[in-house]
Amino acid sequence: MKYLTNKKITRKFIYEILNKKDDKSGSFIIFTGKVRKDKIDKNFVKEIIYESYEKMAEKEIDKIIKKAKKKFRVREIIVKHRIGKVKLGEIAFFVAVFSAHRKEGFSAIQFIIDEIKKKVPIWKKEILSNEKYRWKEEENV
Amino acid sequence: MVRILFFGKLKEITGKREIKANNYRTLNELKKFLFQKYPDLKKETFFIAVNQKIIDKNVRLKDNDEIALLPPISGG
Repeated sequence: MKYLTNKKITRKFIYEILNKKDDKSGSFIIFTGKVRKDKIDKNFVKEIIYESYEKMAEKEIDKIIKKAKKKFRVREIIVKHRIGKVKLGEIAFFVAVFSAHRKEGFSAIQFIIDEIKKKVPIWKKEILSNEKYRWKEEENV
Repeated sequence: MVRILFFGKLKEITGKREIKANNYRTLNELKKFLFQKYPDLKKETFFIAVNQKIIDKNVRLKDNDEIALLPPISGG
Protein backbone atom coordinates (compact mmCIF):
# COMPACT_ATOMS: atom_id res chain seq x y z
CA MET A 1 0.00 0.00 0.00
CA LYS A 2 1.41 3.31 -1.06
CA TYR A 3 -1.13 5.81 0.23
CA LEU A 4 -3.14 3.82 2.75
CA THR A 5 -1.52 2.87 6.01
CA ASN A 6 -2.47 1.09 9.19
CA LYS A 7 0.39 2.73 11.07
CA LYS A 8 0.25 6.00 13.01
CA ILE A 9 1.13 9.19 11.13
CA THR A 10 3.78 10.50 13.50
CA ARG A 11 5.55 13.81 14.05
CA LYS A 12 8.73 12.06 12.93
CA PHE A 13 7.11 11.21 9.60
CA ILE A 14 6.01 14.84 9.11
CA TYR A 15 9.40 16.16 10.20
CA GLU A 16 11.19 13.95 7.68
CA ILE A 17 9.02 15.33 4.88
CA LEU A 18 9.64 18.88 6.10
CA ASN A 19 13.37 18.27 5.84
CA LYS A 20 13.24 17.01 2.27
CA LYS A 21 15.74 18.89 0.20
CA ASP A 22 14.20 20.60 -2.79
CA ASP A 23 15.78 23.92 -3.66
CA LYS A 24 13.13 24.72 -6.24
CA SER A 25 10.19 24.54 -3.82
CA GLY A 26 9.62 27.83 -2.06
CA SER A 27 6.36 26.64 -0.54
CA PHE A 28 5.54 23.62 1.61
CA ILE A 29 1.94 23.21 2.78
CA ILE A 30 0.57 20.41 4.93
CA PHE A 31 -2.93 19.43 5.91
CA THR A 32 -3.74 17.00 8.71
CA GLY A 33 -7.24 15.72 9.34
CA LYS A 34 -7.72 14.42 12.88
CA VAL A 35 -10.40 12.38 14.62
CA ARG A 36 -12.72 14.91 16.22
CA LYS A 37 -14.66 14.58 19.47
CA ASP A 38 -18.09 14.94 17.85
CA LYS A 39 -21.05 14.85 20.17
CA ILE A 40 -23.88 12.54 19.18
CA ASP A 41 -26.89 12.79 21.49
CA LYS A 42 -25.36 12.23 24.94
CA ASN A 43 -22.27 10.45 23.66
CA PHE A 44 -19.12 11.40 21.80
CA VAL A 45 -16.93 9.84 19.15
CA LYS A 46 -13.98 8.08 20.81
CA GLU A 47 -12.43 6.47 17.75
CA ILE A 48 -13.06 5.82 14.09
CA ILE A 49 -12.55 2.60 12.22
CA TYR A 50 -11.70 3.39 8.61
CA GLU A 51 -12.60 0.75 6.09
CA SER A 52 -11.47 0.89 2.49
CA TYR A 53 -11.67 -0.87 -0.84
CA GLU A 54 -7.91 -0.78 -0.93
CA LYS A 55 -7.24 -1.77 -4.50
CA MET A 56 -9.56 0.92 -5.85
CA ALA A 57 -8.55 3.54 -3.24
CA GLU A 58 -4.88 3.31 -4.19
CA LYS A 59 -5.73 3.71 -7.87
CA GLU A 60 -8.04 6.68 -7.24
CA ILE A 61 -5.51 8.53 -5.07
CA ASP A 62 -2.88 7.98 -7.73
CA LYS A 63 -5.18 9.47 -10.38
CA ILE A 64 -5.97 12.50 -8.18
CA ILE A 65 -2.26 13.18 -7.55
CA LYS A 66 -1.44 12.98 -11.26
CA LYS A 67 -4.33 15.28 -12.10
CA ALA A 68 -3.33 17.83 -9.41
CA LYS A 69 0.31 17.86 -10.55
CA LYS A 70 -0.76 18.59 -14.09
CA LYS A 71 -3.45 21.12 -13.23
CA PHE A 72 -1.53 23.19 -10.68
CA ARG A 73 2.08 22.50 -11.73
CA VAL A 74 3.18 21.67 -8.19
CA ARG A 75 6.45 19.83 -7.63
CA GLU A 76 5.55 17.06 -5.22
CA ILE A 77 2.47 15.67 -3.47
CA ILE A 78 2.45 13.27 -0.53
CA VAL A 79 -0.77 11.61 0.64
CA LYS A 80 -1.39 9.21 3.53
CA HIS A 81 -4.73 7.95 4.78
CA ARG A 82 -5.13 5.70 7.79
CA ILE A 83 -7.20 2.55 7.67
CA GLY A 84 -8.26 0.50 10.67
CA LYS A 85 -8.69 1.95 14.13
CA VAL A 86 -7.79 5.63 14.65
CA LYS A 87 -8.18 7.14 18.11
CA LEU A 88 -9.46 10.57 19.08
CA GLY A 89 -6.88 13.24 18.25
CA GLU A 90 -4.82 11.03 15.96
CA ILE A 91 -4.14 12.03 12.37
CA ALA A 92 -6.31 10.11 9.95
CA PHE A 93 -5.55 11.97 6.75
CA PHE A 94 -2.37 13.73 5.67
CA VAL A 95 -1.57 15.75 2.55
CA ALA A 96 1.62 17.67 1.79
CA VAL A 97 2.31 19.80 -1.28
CA PHE A 98 5.65 21.23 -2.42
CA SER A 99 5.51 23.98 -5.01
CA ALA A 100 7.55 26.88 -6.29
CA HIS A 101 5.02 29.42 -4.99
CA ARG A 102 2.29 29.32 -2.35
CA LYS A 103 -0.63 30.14 -4.61
CA GLU A 104 -0.57 26.93 -6.66
CA GLY A 105 0.25 25.00 -3.48
CA PHE A 106 -2.91 26.20 -1.70
CA SER A 107 -5.07 25.55 -4.77
CA ALA A 108 -3.61 22.07 -5.20
CA ILE A 109 -4.02 21.02 -1.57
CA GLN A 110 -7.66 22.14 -1.51
CA PHE A 111 -8.32 20.24 -4.74
CA ILE A 112 -6.62 17.06 -3.48
CA ILE A 113 -8.49 17.04 -0.15
CA ASP A 114 -11.87 17.61 -1.84
CA GLU A 115 -11.27 14.99 -4.52
CA ILE A 116 -10.11 12.35 -2.06
CA LYS A 117 -13.11 12.95 0.19
CA LYS A 118 -15.40 12.65 -2.82
CA LYS A 119 -13.89 9.84 -4.88
CA VAL A 120 -11.76 7.49 -2.81
CA PRO A 121 -13.67 4.49 -1.41
CA ILE A 122 -13.07 4.90 2.32
CA TRP A 123 -15.77 4.68 5.00
CA LYS A 124 -15.90 5.85 8.59
CA LYS A 125 -17.34 3.69 11.33
CA GLU A 126 -17.61 5.98 14.35
CA ILE A 127 -17.26 4.26 17.71
CA LEU A 128 -19.07 6.16 20.45
CA SER A 129 -18.36 6.50 24.16
CA ASN A 130 -21.25 4.13 24.95
CA GLU A 131 -19.58 1.46 22.73
CA LYS A 132 -22.26 1.76 20.06
CA TYR A 133 -21.29 2.70 16.54
CA ARG A 134 -22.63 4.33 13.43
CA TRP A 135 -21.52 4.37 9.82
CA LYS A 136 -21.00 7.92 8.75
CA GLU A 137 -22.67 8.58 5.42
CA GLU A 138 -23.14 11.29 2.87
CA GLU A 139 -21.05 13.81 4.73
CA ASN A 140 -19.19 14.82 1.63
CA VAL A 141 -21.99 15.61 -0.77
CA MET B 1 -17.60 -16.69 -12.29
CA VAL B 2 -17.50 -13.18 -10.80
CA ARG B 3 -16.59 -12.00 -7.29
CA ILE B 4 -18.89 -9.57 -5.48
CA LEU B 5 -17.48 -7.47 -2.64
CA PHE B 6 -19.49 -5.62 0.01
CA PHE B 7 -18.23 -2.71 2.07
CA GLY B 8 -19.26 -0.70 5.13
CA LYS B 9 -22.89 -0.99 6.09
CA LEU B 10 -23.60 -3.21 3.07
CA LYS B 11 -21.25 -5.85 4.48
CA GLU B 12 -23.38 -5.93 7.62
CA ILE B 13 -26.60 -6.27 5.62
CA THR B 14 -25.33 -9.23 3.62
CA GLY B 15 -23.33 -10.66 6.51
CA LYS B 16 -20.50 -11.27 4.05
CA ARG B 17 -17.49 -9.46 2.75
CA GLU B 18 -17.40 -11.40 -0.48
CA ILE B 19 -19.49 -13.87 -2.48
CA LYS B 20 -19.04 -15.56 -5.82
CA ALA B 21 -21.67 -15.90 -8.51
CA ASN B 22 -22.07 -17.79 -11.75
CA ASN B 23 -24.24 -17.42 -14.80
CA TYR B 24 -24.99 -13.71 -14.74
CA ARG B 25 -24.22 -12.18 -18.07
CA THR B 26 -24.92 -8.56 -17.24
CA LEU B 27 -24.69 -6.21 -14.28
CA ASN B 28 -28.49 -5.79 -14.25
CA GLU B 29 -28.99 -9.55 -14.02
CA LEU B 30 -26.52 -9.69 -11.16
CA LYS B 31 -28.23 -6.78 -9.38
CA LYS B 32 -31.57 -8.55 -9.66
CA PHE B 33 -30.05 -11.66 -8.09
CA LEU B 34 -28.50 -9.61 -5.26
CA PHE B 35 -31.80 -7.85 -4.49
CA GLN B 36 -33.54 -11.22 -4.33
CA LYS B 37 -30.88 -12.71 -2.10
CA TYR B 38 -30.55 -9.64 0.14
CA PRO B 39 -33.83 -7.65 -0.06
CA ASP B 40 -32.58 -5.07 2.47
CA LEU B 41 -30.06 -3.87 -0.10
CA LYS B 42 -32.94 -2.22 -1.95
CA LYS B 43 -33.27 0.34 0.85
CA GLU B 44 -29.64 1.40 0.63
CA THR B 45 -27.86 3.95 -1.52
CA PHE B 46 -24.76 2.53 -3.16
CA PHE B 47 -22.50 2.70 -6.18
CA ILE B 48 -21.17 -0.21 -8.15
CA ALA B 49 -17.60 -0.60 -9.30
CA VAL B 50 -16.57 -3.19 -11.86
CA ASN B 51 -12.84 -3.91 -11.68
CA GLN B 52 -12.34 -0.80 -9.49
CA LYS B 53 -14.16 1.55 -11.86
CA ILE B 54 -17.55 3.12 -11.02
CA ILE B 55 -20.14 1.95 -13.54
CA ASP B 56 -23.55 3.64 -13.79
CA LYS B 57 -25.04 1.69 -16.66
CA ASN B 58 -25.69 -1.92 -17.53
CA VAL B 59 -22.59 -3.71 -18.76
CA ARG B 60 -21.73 -7.21 -19.88
CA LEU B 61 -19.83 -9.19 -17.24
CA LYS B 62 -16.77 -11.28 -17.96
CA ASP B 63 -15.26 -14.21 -16.13
CA ASN B 64 -13.16 -13.08 -13.11
CA ASP B 65 -14.69 -9.61 -12.96
CA GLU B 66 -14.59 -7.99 -9.51
CA ILE B 67 -17.85 -6.26 -8.65
CA ALA B 68 -17.91 -4.02 -5.59
CA LEU B 69 -20.94 -2.49 -3.85
CA LEU B 70 -19.84 0.81 -2.33
CA PRO B 71 -21.86 2.88 0.16
CA PRO B 72 -21.58 6.69 -0.09
CA ILE B 73 -17.95 7.61 0.53
CA SER B 74 -17.05 9.21 3.86
CA GLY B 75 -13.25 9.26 4.07
CA GLY B 76 -10.91 12.03 5.08
